[in-house]
Parts: sequence; structure tokens; C-alpha cells
Amino acid sequence: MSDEVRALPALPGTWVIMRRELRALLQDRRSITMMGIFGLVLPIVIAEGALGSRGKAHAVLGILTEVLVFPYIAGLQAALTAFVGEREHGTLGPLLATPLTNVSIFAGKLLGAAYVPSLATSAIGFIAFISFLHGKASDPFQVVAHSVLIETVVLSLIAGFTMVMLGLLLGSKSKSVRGAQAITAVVVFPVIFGVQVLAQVVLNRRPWIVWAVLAGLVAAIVASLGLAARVWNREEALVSSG
Amino acid sequence: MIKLENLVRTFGSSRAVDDLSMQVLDGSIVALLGPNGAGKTTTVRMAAGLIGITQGRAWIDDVDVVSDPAHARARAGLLMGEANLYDNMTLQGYLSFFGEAYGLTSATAKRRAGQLAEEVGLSDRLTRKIESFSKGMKQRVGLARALVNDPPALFLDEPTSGLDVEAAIEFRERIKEFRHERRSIVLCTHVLAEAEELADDVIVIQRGKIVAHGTPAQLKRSSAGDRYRIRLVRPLKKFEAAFRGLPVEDVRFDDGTIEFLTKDAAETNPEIVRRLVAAGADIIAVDEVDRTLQEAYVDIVRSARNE
Repeated sequence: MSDEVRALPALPGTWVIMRRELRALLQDRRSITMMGIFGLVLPIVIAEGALGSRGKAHAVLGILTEVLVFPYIAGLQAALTAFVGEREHGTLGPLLATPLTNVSIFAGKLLGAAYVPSLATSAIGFIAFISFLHGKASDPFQVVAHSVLIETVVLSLIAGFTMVMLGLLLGSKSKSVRGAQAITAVVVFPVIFGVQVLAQVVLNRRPWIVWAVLAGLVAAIVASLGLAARVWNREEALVSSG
Repeated sequence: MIKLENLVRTFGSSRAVDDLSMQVLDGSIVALLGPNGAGKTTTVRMAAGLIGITQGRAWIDDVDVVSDPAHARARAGLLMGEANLYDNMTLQGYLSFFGEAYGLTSATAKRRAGQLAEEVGLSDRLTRKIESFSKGMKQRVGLARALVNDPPALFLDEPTSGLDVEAAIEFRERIKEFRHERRSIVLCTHVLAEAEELADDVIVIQRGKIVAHGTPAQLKRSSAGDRYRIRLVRPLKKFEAAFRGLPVEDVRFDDGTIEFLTKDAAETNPEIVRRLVAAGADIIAVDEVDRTLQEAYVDIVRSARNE
């Protein structure tokens, strides 16, 4: 055996998996198209709608949350493909035979397939949205206080992360990507609706509600991560894939 | 070396592997045979550190699989049935990725990918996407992947299933090439000819237990004795009388031949010949019949089932 072969610690292992997922994503035309739609087309189309609001802060914020959270729907689909799809096609087995830890495989896939691309798409969408409305009546920087804007952005991102985690957990019950996607619809709509409601709460300056919700969402992510790492353990994945 | 000691694996109330012990020495190939659901794959998965061991112990190259499964996996190569590859990757990208997953640096993994591609006869396809490969080629990529860490223990679970005859023969040739004195290989297969061609030792598993163990030659020698065939000039009607009272089993009369099993050929065969000649039979030859491993296997599995 080569002297260089070793069991990688969790962090470098996560990096190896994440890089592969990102490369696979960038080679997948469908994923790139989705990112283009959610990151460029949709924000500009939605910004057109924001123009109609003529500077009404609640409308601008509501629309902004959509721009920020929608990319996570694509992220959730990618995450389901990365986990359920790999199990469905049997490609998870060879990966599980490597010395990589369960955490590395899980975190690497989650980051590479879902979070990093979603975050990037969300950021591009945000910039496109802001740029399109810059200097106009509905410019978010003009109609909403900066602190409200920052709180909304943070809230939306955490809501997006939570949506992916919950969707992944629910989707893991299915043996096919198609089935998993159907199941996750249960999560997507309440999260999108919920985050819009929260944006209005932010606007109405009730910080304790916002922070309570934020704390709840973070707790949900942490709990989901723990649960997901157990659900997606090596043995479970192998037994499920036959 | 791979060493398994009193392995037990339960799924709920069922015992998939039941007190199984075996050893695969460096440089040797052991074939695990058994019907579907006998516990072969579960044994391999436990031995390779993929799933937990309910009871017992296992070592790969002196690394304890129970207490240190990650390091055990670093010393194992595994090909489970179909290769299941990432089809949208190039061969080089795919093998490099797995090299890095085994802790190789990016440059070393890339070099190793090129080396393995050459060893499995795919060096001309290094930059091609795997989706364009034939099934036989994909299986060779799977073998290259299993060897990316140059493992001292290699587990091959039905590696030629689904391959056409030519591809299967070629794949077996590769396995022979990758056999060396520092590597132990476990081969699970339903292709008995494959086991006979490649394995030094054969282990038959039934309901999670070992029911037979030996070299292919030893297993072919039935517990009921060796098989003999007497060829006659003319077909005779059944000749049960010639065998009456003798220690023979499974006597078969065919057109001009009689076959039987006996544990004591030196005593039994001359007596049978005498009786047949006395009854007017013209004997051309008495031959020992080589049992195939398949016949031996069927006998072993059937008798284990009846126990």
C-alpha cells in the first residue's frame, strides 16, 4: 500500500467531496440553467414587480425575500440528487467504501451540492435585484433602513438553509429522487410564505420576535444536521442501496 | 492478510452471518460461494469496515476493523457488483477524485490515475467521459478504483456479473495481473468456473455459516467418495445386482455407461468389475470421473440445506 494513503480528517475530507460536487454541478447544464434563472432572470423579473410597488417598503422586502430564498429550492433539488439520487444509482456505495468519515461525506455533499451554489446564486440574485432597482423609487436602500435590510438578508439565508435541511430529512424517506422531490414540496411553500411574513415583522421593528425566530431556525438547522448525519450514516445508506 | 474471527451480524432477529471465521493469506485468493442471501456480501461489508460487526473481530493487514474502521477501509479495495460510476466524469477525474478520497495529494492522485488507467488497459481513454464506455470498460474502471489505494486487501463481490463472456474473461485476466504477494483477495461469485480458475481456496457459505472449505480440488472430491465411470461395449439393461451390498452411492445407468460414487475404490471397483464380467458385460474402460466444482457445490449446498 502507498505510504501516502490515509484516512483524511473530517475537514479535508469534506473539502474533497465538496469540490467534486461543485465540479459536477458546474458541468451540469440543467443546474447552470437553474442558477441562471434564479440568480439573474427571476430577480430582474421580480424587480419589475417591485417597481410597481412605488416604494412601499413591505412590498419591496417581501419581494426581496423571494429573491434570496428561491435559489434554495434549486439547492434542495441538487441536495436530493446528491443524496437520494446517488443512493438510487448505487454510486454512494463506492464513496462509503473509502476511509472518509460520515460527516465528511454528508457535509461535503450538502455544502457542494446545495449550500455553496445556493448561497452564490442568492448573492448574485441580490446584487441583480439591487442593481436593477438602484436609484429608482423602489430602491431597497432608499425605502428600507439598512439594519432592516441586513436582518432580512440574514433571516432569508437561514430560512433557506433550514428549508434545505428539512427537505433533505423528509426526502431521505424516499428511495427515488422523484419521490423525494414530491415529499419536499411540503417544506418549500411554508418556508417561503413564512419568511415573507417574518420580513414584515422585521419591518415593523419587533426585534425580539425576529431574534426568537432566528434562534429557532438556527436550532432547527443544528438539530436537523445531527439527525441528518444519523439518518445518512454509512450503514443506513448501504443497506438502503441494497 | 485478512482475518475474520467468529463474525456475527444480525439484522433484527435474523442472523445474516453466524460465527464465521476465515483467513486470507497474503498473495492468495479465496472465493466465497453460496446461494443468494447466504451472507457473502454482508461478510465482505463487515470485513471491509463498511458496516458494523455485531460480534467477533476482523483485521485487515493487522488493523482492527472493529476499533478502527476508517484505517481498515484505507487498506481495502472494494468492487461490489456493478461498478456504479459517476458517468459524467472523465476517467482521470474519477480516479483522481477517489485517490484524493484515500488521502493522496492532488498530483499523486492524478499520477496514480494515469498509472491505473494503463494497468486496466484504458490509458487511451483517460480524458474521455465514462458515459461513453462499454459495460466491460466500466467494470475495469471499477477495478481501477478499487486499486487506487494499492490495497493489501481486495474484495470483489460478483465482479463479472452482467458482463458478456469475452469481457468476463478479460476481467478475470486483470484480476490475475493484480494478484501479488502482498495482497489478499476475497472473491464472491456465482460463476463456479471463475472460482475454480482464480481461487486458491474456496469457502461455501449457507445461512451465514461456513459449510465447506478447501481448495477447489479438495471440494471436488465428494464426501460421498470419488466418482467412477464404467464404459461397456454394448448397452446393458440395468445392472443393479452388480452393486448390491457394496459401499456405493448414486449409481447411474446410461446408454453404455454406468457411473457410481465410492469411498473405497480399491476394494469396491474390482468386485464390481468381476460381477459385471460374470454377468456377461464387455468392459472397455473404468475411469475416474472428475467432478466439476459446480457439481461439488450443488452437492454441498443441498446436503447443508437438508441438515
